[in-house]
Amino acid sequence: MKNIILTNDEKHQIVEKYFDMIYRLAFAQVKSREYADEVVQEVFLRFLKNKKSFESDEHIKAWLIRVTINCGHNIFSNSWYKKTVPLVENEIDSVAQMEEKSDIYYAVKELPPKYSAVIHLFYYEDMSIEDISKYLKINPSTVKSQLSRGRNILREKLKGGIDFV
Amino acid sequence: MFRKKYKELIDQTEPNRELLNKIFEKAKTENKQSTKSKLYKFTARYGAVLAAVFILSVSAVIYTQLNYSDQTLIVKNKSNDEEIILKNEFDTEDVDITAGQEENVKYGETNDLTKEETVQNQSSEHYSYAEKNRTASVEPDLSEIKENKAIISNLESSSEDENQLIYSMLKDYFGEIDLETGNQFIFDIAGKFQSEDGQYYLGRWLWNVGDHNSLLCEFVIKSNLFEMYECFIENDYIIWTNSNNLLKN
Repeated sequence: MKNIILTNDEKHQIVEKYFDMIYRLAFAQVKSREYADEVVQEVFLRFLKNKKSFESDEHIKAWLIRVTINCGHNIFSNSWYKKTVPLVENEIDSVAQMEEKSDIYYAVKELPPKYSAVIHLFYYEDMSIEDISKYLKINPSTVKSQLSRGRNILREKLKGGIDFV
Repeated sequence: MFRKKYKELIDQTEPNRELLNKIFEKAKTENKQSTKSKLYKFTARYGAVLAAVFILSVSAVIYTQLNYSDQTLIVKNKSNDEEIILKNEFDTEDVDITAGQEENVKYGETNDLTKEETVQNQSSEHYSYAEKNRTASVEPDLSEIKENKAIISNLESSSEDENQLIYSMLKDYFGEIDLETGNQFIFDIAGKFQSEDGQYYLGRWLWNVGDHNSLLCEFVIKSNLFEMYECFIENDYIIWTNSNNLLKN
């Protein structure tokens, strides 16, 4: 397969193309605008500085998704995050005050990050289990189990109020 | 319907577009800095290599000299051999080689997740939460929910009249526009199939979001048009539960 080395202009176009998708994925994972900004900035700076060649548009998309998830995990392991958790929670709540606070909001907010990514890709980006497995480079059965565990957590939080199937 | 509610929730989060310019500017600045520092990097790299070679050479000389003096010492202290051996044995006993193993065993008892999950959990603040809920996820309370399955290859095409009847019923029931978001609803029937309790139609419910359609859910609707459930397509199966009839009101 032919590898493409991207020019700066092409890279800028790609950043603009995937910006919304990556921002929402980061937000779904870290559940805070402040940290989502941090993650998105890190992901795209890495992409712009990267000298790596890509095989296709799908390859770029997969790379961006994986780096976003890894950067999201790094935020949680960062000692600064651990020290500022109460502040961040207040910030999320203040964002929520602008919006209608629904049961779904609280359920999703409390969903562990490892399940958030899979739930987001499945329910928001409409990706199939096979697609998620391909993008995240993990086994389809792992995707299935993470999806199922995520759903069960949400189902428990929502007390059966919403049908997932 | 979780997918619809989740999309609404995430759509409320408008991406911070100002961040785009910030990223481009930052990348440009860092790029300039990296060009300027190339010379320094070059000097530093070769300087480091030279320093490393020098240190290795000096270390090799010192090591050779030390070995030579040790051998001399051994010859000189041949009569004290027994004492040296005893000291060596004592030193070995001082090392607690079981400490690490005990820790591993302890860790294994409390956490039987896979390696990948363990790494993710360690890096997560929600470790204890995920663990707590994992027990719940193993034994979900599904006693009241009946799961139905149908093989997707048994799907037959439905006639245009049947489809139109379903579209008009769904539009009457749910409206043509989502009042919460202003997006137009689109219903799409893929075909029909026979299940244990009757004939069902399989369809998709979408939003028309300007330039594209966004999936809200896949659903099955019974031929009597009184029951409609969200469904999930996994491998070759259409899976749904009868827990939440979308046409119950």
